[in-house]
Order: sequence, then C-alpha cells, then structure tokens
Amino acid sequence: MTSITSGRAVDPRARPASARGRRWWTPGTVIAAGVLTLVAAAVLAPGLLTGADPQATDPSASLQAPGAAHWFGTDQLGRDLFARVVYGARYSVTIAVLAVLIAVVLGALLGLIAGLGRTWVDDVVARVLDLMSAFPSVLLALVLATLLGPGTVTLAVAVGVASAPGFGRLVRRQTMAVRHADFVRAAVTFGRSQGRIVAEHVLPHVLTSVLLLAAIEVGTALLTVSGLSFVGLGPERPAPEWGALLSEGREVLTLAWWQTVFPGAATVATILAFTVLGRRLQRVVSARGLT
Amino acid sequence: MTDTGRALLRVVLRRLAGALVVLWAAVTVTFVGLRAMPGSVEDVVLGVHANDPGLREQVRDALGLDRPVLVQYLDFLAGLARGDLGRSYVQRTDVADLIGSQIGPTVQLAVAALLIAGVTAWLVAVLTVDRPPASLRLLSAVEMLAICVPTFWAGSLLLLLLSYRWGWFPAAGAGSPSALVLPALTLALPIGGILGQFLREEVARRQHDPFVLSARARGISPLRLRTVHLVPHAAVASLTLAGNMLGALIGGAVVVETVFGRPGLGRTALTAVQGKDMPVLLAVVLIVAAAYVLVSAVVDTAAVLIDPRLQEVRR
Repeated sequence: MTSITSGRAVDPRARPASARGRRWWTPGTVIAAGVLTLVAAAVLAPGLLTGADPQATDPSASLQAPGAAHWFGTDQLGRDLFARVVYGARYSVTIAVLAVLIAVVLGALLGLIAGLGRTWVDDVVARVLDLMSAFPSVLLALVLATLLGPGTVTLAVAVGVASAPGFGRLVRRQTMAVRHADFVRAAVTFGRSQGRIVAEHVLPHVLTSVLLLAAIEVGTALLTVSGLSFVGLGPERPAPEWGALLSEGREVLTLAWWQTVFPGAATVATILAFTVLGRRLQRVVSARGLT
Repeated sequence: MTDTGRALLRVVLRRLAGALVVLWAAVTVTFVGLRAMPGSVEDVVLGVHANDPGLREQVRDALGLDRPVLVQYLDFLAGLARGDLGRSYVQRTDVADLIGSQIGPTVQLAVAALLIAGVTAWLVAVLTVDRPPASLRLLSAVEMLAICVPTFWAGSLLLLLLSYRWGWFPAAGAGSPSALVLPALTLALPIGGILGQFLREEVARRQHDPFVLSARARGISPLRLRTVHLVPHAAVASLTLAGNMLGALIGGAVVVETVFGRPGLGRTALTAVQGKDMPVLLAVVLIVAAAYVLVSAVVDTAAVLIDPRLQEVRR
C-alpha cells in the first residue's frame, strides 16, 4: 500500500537548519506524544483504560449509539466498542512493530551484503530488492495467506518483507558512502578484520538513519496491516484488530456509523502520531547534524 | 546511429533483460511457494466431493498432477509463453478470460484515481509556490492527513455521507460513470498526498537553482516561471515515485474494490485466496509484476531521455 516516506533519506539541502527545525516540542509533537502514550497504555495494560470485556456479548444492547454506558456504542452482538478498540491496539500495533523489525533486519542484511560485496554481489542483491518491490505488500500478503492461512504471523511477515527493500536501499547507500571514508580506511590499515570493521564502524554509522526510517515506517506498516486485515487477511475474528473492526463496521454501515467512525479515528490518530514524531525526529537530527 | 541513440539503446536493452529476469523470478517464486502449499489441489478442485477416490483420480489425470514438479513447472512456463494462463480450479473457466473480464474496471479505477491525484497535486504545487509559511504548514498537514488516512476508512466515510445520507452516488457496483466517482476519489487521496508533497518539496528546493535565476533575469512572470520551468522540472523528478505509486494503486484497488463492492482484479485475487485458486492467483501476480517491471523500465528510460546526465551517474 502507500509508503509515507518513499524511503528517501533526509536531504540536508532540503531545509536550512533554522531554530524551528531544531525544536523537539511543537504543538504537533506534544499531541502525538500524548496519543502514543495512550496507545502504549492500551497495548500494555488495556484494563487501565476500560473495565469492559471486549468479547462480552449482550444481545439486549445490540447496536446501541454512543452514550454514557458505552462511549463508542456497541456492535451487533452488543459488545462494547470502546473496549474492543482499546484491546485491538495490542493486535494492530504489535503486528506493525513486528513487521518493521522484520523489515529492518532483512533490509540491513541485504543492504550490508550489497554495500560491502563485490560488484556482481551488489548487482544480484539489487535485483533481489527489485523483485521484492515488484511484489506490492498486498500481493505478498495474498500469496502468503494462501500458503500459511491468514493470521498475525502472515500479516507481519508480508508487511515486513514488503517494506524491507526501503531499508535495504538505505543501508546499501550508507554502507557504500562509509566504505571509503577515512576512518574505515584507517581501520583497514590497522589490520582489523572485516567483521569487526562492520560491527564497529559501518553499523553504528548506518544505525541512526535506519532507526529514523523505522520510526516513520511503523505508521506505514500500521496503515498496510489494518488494510489487509480489513479485507480479511488478518487475525481471525473475533480478534478486535482495528482493520477487522472496520470490516465489521462496513457490514452495518447503514445502521451504525459509530462502528466505522471510532475504530477508524483510532487508527488514523495512531498512524499520524507515529508519522509526526518520526518526521520531527528526522528533522531535528538532520538540523543538529547528528547523521 | 548517434552516440546518444546508441547509449539509449543500451539502457533499454539492459532494462529489458533485467525486467525479464525479475518477471521470471517473480513467477517462479510464486509457483514454488504455491506448490509447497499444504493441502492438495484435488481438495480445492473437488470441494465437497473431495472424498470420492474415482473423481480424485480423474482430477489428477486432467491436471497432470502425477508428473514430476519440474515437468509441471516447465509446462506452466511454456503455457505462459503461449499466453495460456491455465484454468481456474474453482470457477472452471480459462484464467485468461476471467482476468480479461476483470481487468477493465480496475484499470478504469486506477487511471481515474491517477488523473484526479495528478491534476490536483500539480495545481496545488503551481498555486502555492510562494505562499506564506503558515499556509504552507497547513497544506502539508492536509497532505499528511491524506497519506495517513486508510483508504478503507476514507471510502467508508464517503459512502456514509454521500451515498447513504445524501444519496448523491450509488453505493456499489461499476455500472455507471457516477459509480466510479467515490472509489476513484478514495484511491486518489493517498496518491495525491504523496505526489503533492513531493512536487512542492521539489519546487521549493529548485527555487534558487541557476536556471530559475536566469529565467528571472529574462524577466518572465512568476506564474510562467512556475508553470513552464519549476513544476515540469519537479514533475520529471516525480517519475522516480512511479513504482511507489503503482504499489499504492494496486494495494489500494484491492481495498477500494472491497469497500465499494466493485468488480475487478483486486476482488478476483481475494476470492482466489479464499478458494485457494492457484492459477488465478498466479495470473494476478504475473500481471502485477509485469506492470511494475514495465513501469519502472519505461520510467528509467524516460528519465535518461529527458536528462542525459543520468547515464554517467550509473556505473
């Protein structure tokens, strides 16, 4: 699906290092941090945010509009929608973070191999990265879902593999840049082994930009994950994953607007929070010349 | 042949060879993966009759499943070369016919969305080049929102308001042009966001380039400077996003077709997954990979054609 960053590294020419660019806290980042705190609470201790059971059905309270008893209303089976959204964070956010971890590891590995290897190795890896991007994440998820059956792992692997090329290209570029830097040549002169040079000099240099990209990619991954879950490739029902909640909401769209509006708003708020914070982080880091 | 012509030919041939390799690999990886799938093809084909040993034998015979996997693979490749995509296990029709009937609505949707997104992004870039920073910040917030809102949510909200509440547009199907409006708008949203952001950043970055200065020195109007010099420059640069766009379009199509109940490739693929209908899924994979490879080859060639300096940058 959509990539929020298009995988480009921060271009130092893009913006002069103004005072504005160096600031951590802007109204946007304060709100984003607040949202992420709530999301973290929902993931780690959902019981703190709601006393209701996300799976408890109540036929007498089916499809109730939002009110004092049920803040976000109830679904067809009378389950409390607020509780389902809160408990759903655990699925959605965990899968997204897992996917980014897979992408980082796989991408870094491929990028290092390409960046440090001989020309033909680089060519082969570049083709592999091409091949991986030729599979949009949705298609990859479709194929994997046929193979493994839909579910949490399928989703994380599909989205992770699909976002790996972005990291791969970034690491490859950075590795190549660092490879001929004076401090690496010095290390070679001192007879350091290749493994140690990679571990001590190349990786730390590459790490900052990888982490910066990863922060934003969590938002992108969440977008893709909820979309795939929406079309039925996510965790089995009745897991309250946000995309699945919205898919249930689509079925009763004419009857219950709240079942579409609230889970969607939670998804958007979380994606925006990751993206806003990730971008600010990139800007601050590049303005302060840390990369 | 001129030097440029020969260089161009080399780039095209190189890209073509690379494209074929990627295509072959994509199909092979999928083929191997799907053959390794747990559960047998006979079960999928026979459905409720899976326990009839006589029928199982017939199916194995008809599909040539007793042959070694390598032979099946070569047969599959040979079929592809003839343009034969095989038969659907579930729908009992030729896959080529099935795909042929479904590709139209998807292409329609994608082209409409791309047009809406492109025109909007271009207009916004032209009109806002030298606005005060405050309004630019607002604009970039809007773009970010467009990118971050999941298409299925945007689509559901549009349906909720414009179809169910106000009844302006039909809620499902692909029969009339008005049925295309909401899906296309929905799909255009993230693409327009990405494109708009890219164009504006690129224009802002080029503002102080020498060619802008020289154009200014010749005394052209600010509007002409933008429409004739800056934005086309940025538009060419945005070609690099083409692969990204295609991914967004395809991924988006699967979701948008589900939300709006439109026929199309995305829905076909989803149905194929649910029914484990491998031939259909393979065909969709092939089409998408081919589209991707084609687009990136065309874009790379076009980029070299437009900006010959790129030849030297590549090793």
